[in-house]
Amino acid sequence: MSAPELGVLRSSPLLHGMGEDDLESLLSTAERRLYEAGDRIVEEGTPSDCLFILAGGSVRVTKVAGDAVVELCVLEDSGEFFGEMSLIDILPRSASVVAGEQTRILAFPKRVLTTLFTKVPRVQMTLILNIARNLSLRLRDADELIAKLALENGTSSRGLI
Amino acid sequence: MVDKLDFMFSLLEGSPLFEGLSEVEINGLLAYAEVDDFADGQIVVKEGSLGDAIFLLCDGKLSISTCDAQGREIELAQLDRRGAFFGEISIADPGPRSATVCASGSALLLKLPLAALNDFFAQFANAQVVILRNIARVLARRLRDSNALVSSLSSS
Repeated sequence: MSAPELGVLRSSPLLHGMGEDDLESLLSTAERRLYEAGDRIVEEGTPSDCLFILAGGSVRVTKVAGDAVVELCVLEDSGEFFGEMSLIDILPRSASVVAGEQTRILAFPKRVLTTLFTKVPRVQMTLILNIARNLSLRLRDADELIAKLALENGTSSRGLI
Repeated sequence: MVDKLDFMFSLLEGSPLFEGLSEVEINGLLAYAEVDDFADGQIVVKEGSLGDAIFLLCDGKLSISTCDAQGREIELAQLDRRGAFFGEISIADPGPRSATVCASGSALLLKLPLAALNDFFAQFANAQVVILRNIARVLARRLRDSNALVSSLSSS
């Protein structure tokens, strides 16, 4: 069992409140992946089947809007995660994720996690609770941003008139 | 009384929040539900107060509002769809309420206090995973919509 990787899991907000035994069980299901700068880790619109936790490096999260590609955020702290929506939602990926540099990822395929959830239901409970908390925070942020952008757009369009 | 219970049962059974629960679990949940009447203008939840319950609309209409920087009240939306719910975030994130909800005309609401829900979860552990996943699904759907709106507003 790799101590640095266990440290990554311990620091992840997604796994907050999880005991050491459960973190070790979870790590035993992880696939280690290495990406080079510019590699696409997740493609918007494709089916989702994996949860990812950043173990080193950084990634950019982007979304297509009409003809433009908008960068939603950059993840650069070990323990940050993406693809978590695949655990609760069967819709296709809502954004693309691209490696910003050489990046190490711990990937957790959904079917392997499902097996672990059956054996240790509290792992599923903790994960889903943390996902819901995180979604709720991001929703509050997004809604504040919408209000701000709508106000800016409204102001500028009034300026044009 | 039987009719009222049947009505509440179908309200919970038809809600995306409780999708996937068994009949026994929904009946268990009903035992913890309260039904509250609100008069026109009466506040159901106040912006900034701590979330401590989930509400489902049985009958009537609700007005959702927030205060702007100058303290003026702005109506964000009206809810009149039977089964419409709010406060579900408080299960996962017991932060302050993000808006004020008050009755617009008289309204009948089904209330599930968090403390009661915790008793229910102690009895039906599987139901907790199901309900949390449903809440996360609802939040994920809203976040996808909000992110799409952010993208279109940013690129416009």
